[in-house]
Parts: sequence; C-alpha cells; structure tokens
Amino acid sequence: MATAPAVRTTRLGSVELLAGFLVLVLFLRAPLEELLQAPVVQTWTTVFVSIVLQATPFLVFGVALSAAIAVFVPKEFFARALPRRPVLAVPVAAAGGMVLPGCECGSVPVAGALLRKGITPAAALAFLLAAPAVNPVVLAATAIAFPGDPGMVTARAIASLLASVVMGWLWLRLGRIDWIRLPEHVHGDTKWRAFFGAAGHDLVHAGGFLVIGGMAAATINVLVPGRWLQALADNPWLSVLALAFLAVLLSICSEADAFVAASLTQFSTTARLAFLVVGPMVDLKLFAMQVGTFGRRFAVRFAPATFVVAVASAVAVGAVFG
Amino acid sequence: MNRTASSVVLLLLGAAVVKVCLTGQYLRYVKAGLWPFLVLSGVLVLVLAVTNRHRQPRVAWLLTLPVLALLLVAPQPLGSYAAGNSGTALVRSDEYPPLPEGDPVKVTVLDYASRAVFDGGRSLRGRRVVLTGFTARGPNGENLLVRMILTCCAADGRPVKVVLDGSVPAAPDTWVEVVGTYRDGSIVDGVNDERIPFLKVESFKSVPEPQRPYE
Repeated sequence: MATAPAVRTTRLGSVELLAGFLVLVLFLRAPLEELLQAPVVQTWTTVFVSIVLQATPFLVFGVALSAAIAVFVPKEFFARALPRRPVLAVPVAAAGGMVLPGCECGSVPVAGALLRKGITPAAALAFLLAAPAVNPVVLAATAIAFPGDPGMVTARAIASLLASVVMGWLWLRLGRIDWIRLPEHVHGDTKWRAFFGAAGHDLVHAGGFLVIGGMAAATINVLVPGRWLQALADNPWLSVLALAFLAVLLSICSEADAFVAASLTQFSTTARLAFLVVGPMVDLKLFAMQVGTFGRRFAVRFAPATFVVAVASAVAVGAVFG
Repeated sequence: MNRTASSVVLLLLGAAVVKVCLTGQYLRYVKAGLWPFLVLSGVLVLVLAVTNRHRQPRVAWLLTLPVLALLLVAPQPLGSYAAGNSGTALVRSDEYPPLPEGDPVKVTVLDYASRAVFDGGRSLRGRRVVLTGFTARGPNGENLLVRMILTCCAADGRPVKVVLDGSVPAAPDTWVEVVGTYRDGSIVDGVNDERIPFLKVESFKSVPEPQRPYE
C-alpha cells in the first residue's frame, strides 16, 4: 500500500476500511445466514474453516521456527552443517526434512528462512519438498492408515526423498536465482523485536495465501463428486494421473492424506502412492503459499516441474514395490 | 494494511482460535487431539498482534474471512450433503472380539458397519445395538444413518453409512439414536463400490447434535 503522504489524509485508511467492513458484515448477518442454509454453501464454509483452522498451529509454529532461524541461528551454522558441494548438500537437506514434524504449511516459511540464511537454493528446495512428506509423524500416520501393508510406508519415504533430491539437482542445472523473490524482511533494533517482526510478517503473509488456497481446495472438495473418480479407476495410467491431480486439488494436510488414500480402495497401489507423493509437494494451498513466499515467477515453474517429477518417482517406486 | 489494522486482524484471528477452543466449537472442524496446539498457536498469534510494529502486505485482508466465519457464522459440522459426495468408509481388521456387555450395547457406526461387512455380522448376531448418527438419503432413496469420521480436519472427513430398515425420520440431517439388530444383506455405494450394511430398526429417538459430531 504505497501511498504518497500527501494523498493519505484524503484517503480511507485501513482501520476505517476494516471497521466499515466489520459493521457491514454485522448488518448483513441475517441474509448471510439464509444463504448459508444451502447445503453446498454450508459444506463449503465448514471445509474452508476446517482447512484454515487445521493449518493454523503448523503455520504459527512454522513462522516462529523460521523467525528463530532468521534471527538466532548464526549464518555459519548451515554452511558448516551442509556439505560444501551443492550436489551433496541436496540429499543431506532432503534427509534433514525427516526431523521436522509438521506439514506443508510450516515448511514453506522455514524454507524461506533457510534461503535467507544463504544456504544453496537447491538444498533449501529439497528440504521444502521432503520435510512435509517424510517426517516421523507423517510416516507413522501412513503406517496406521495402511495396517496390512508396511511396504506403503517404505515406498512413500523412498519415492518422496527421490522426488525431492531430483528436484534439487534439477534446480542446480536449470534453476535461476532471479526467479525467486523473497518478500522484504523487517528488521528490528533488538533480536526479540526482529523475531516478533519476522514472525508476524510471515504469519500474515503466508496466512493470507493459505486462505486463498483453502478457498480453492474447499471449492474442489465440495463440487467434485467422488463418483467421477470411479470411472477413472479402471485404467492404470489414467488412475495414476487422476489421483495425482486429486492430491493437487484437495490440498489435504500431509498428516491426513494417507487415510484418504487408504479409503480410495478402487485404485491401484501405484495410483495411491502417487497421491501420497504429490500431495505434500504440490497442491493448491501450497502453490498459493509458494507464490506468496518465493514469488509468482518461481511458483509457476517450480510447481509443474515438481508435479511431473513426483508422479514419475511414484510410478518408478510403485513398479518396484507393487 | 497499516499497523493498527493489521494488529486488529491478528488480534481477531488469535481471539477466534482461542474462542473456538474454549467453547468446544473446534470439534466441528478438527480432531480433538489438536486442542493444545490450537490454544498455544492462538495465544502466540495474540502475542504477535500485541508486538506488531509494522504495516503488513495487502493479503492480510484475507485473514478476516476465516475469522468472520468462525465468530459470526460458526459453520455446522459436515452433514448429509458431504456424506452423499463421498463413498462409505470401513476399517478392516484381522479379528473382531465379542461386543462389550450391555443390552442394548453402544457401538460406533464405524465399528458396526465394519463388523457387518468384513465379519459377516458374526459378532453382531443376537445382540441389540445403539448407534448415534444423522439421517441421510441413500443412492436409491433408502434411509441411511451416517456418521462422519475424520483424521485431521473436515477436509478429509469420510462418511460411514448404514441402511436403516424400519421407520425413521425422513428429513435428512436429523440426529438420532437408533436401537436395532443386525440384518443380513447390503447395498452398494455407487461412489466407491463399497458395501453399505443394514440395521433392522427396533426404535429410535431424536437427540441433540453431539458435542463431538465425528467418530
């Protein structure tokens, strides 16, 4: 909101706008409630609110961790922890994703903080993709969701790590740093001020994009009937693509997606593996957050490439384990 | 968005999260186990609101939407519309131990349906059961009893369906407690080709929506 100081006095400020908006909503409450009686709208609102509420703790802890990295961790730490050669730093960073228990909402701001710390972008991106897919909480959830099928956990871990590492290496070959535009960071006069400033900024920023992604995912969730999928389940190739796209559209938290995959009984193991590998790496909610954190030029290139690599990795690993 | 307005938005967000945790409204949207994390994150957002010293990007406006939905609209838990959109969910297990004591005995809809489909109703025969759920219409106009189950949040909510054989309220989304017995047979849920078992209804009564709408 860059307004010249001279114009400011005659323009509505954000506070007045916010107050006006709130008053308007209060007045419109009765007609709004009537609209919300429609089952479609009601279900949409429930799913939308649920996605945002579910993501809130992960987002808040993610921005707190990313602010802590930004403010309290010395620059040399990551330089020392990661191998100097980027080719080796990529798999180490991906494996490092196994220790951050969370889901994709938290890993976006953390990867942003790692980039700012100057770790090689390829390694930060490998971490971004691996962390939500292979952490202990997600793997445990997968084991519970597929009780008779321990191979699913192994296949998910291997396929996700493979896709993350391949994407990191791909970035080393093809990636250009000027695609990434990190939002400007606030500075504080004390370390704690800087911490709260960075965390608050990241929360509002990533949270706003989370809302966009949540609205898109709720729309798909409510409007796409489950029986459309049934028609696709019989063709082996179509079924893989169908579940991969479904993972993108539904934007389910990576800690829950295994249970949804387990309920898609009519699909092949490989198709369900694709659902589990693609979901934590590319989805509507995540795409919106990546646009917010890394910039649009980055997200429109990175997300489709990740999709292709993740599907290929799932198919390859599925062929071995299937 | 300037500093004051963005502080207010963060304050509302934190307050909304803490409020739904304290009133129990959060159980309509997410799993009960998330409670401590939700409260903690709500408090952290309040701290960030108080310490906020900066103007924030325009996208901050969007955060008012979930806040208003939570505080003013308080969306209902998933109901018959969501149930019709997804295929019935069951849990297969290696063995089905005998039902606990009691006549009639309270069982979850998920447990009943899974025993009926995968155990051929063996552990259910000769027992009267009580199921709690809401009513919905089946693929061919059958009366269904549905309970949603969820893993993390309502976005991954899946219905568990049972066909009610007997007289029950016709209006969908009525919460009922049904006493009945196992009956052979099942219909097919067209959404995922999974089987939906029957329950022979002995009696039913309307009940208020439970505090925990999901199993």
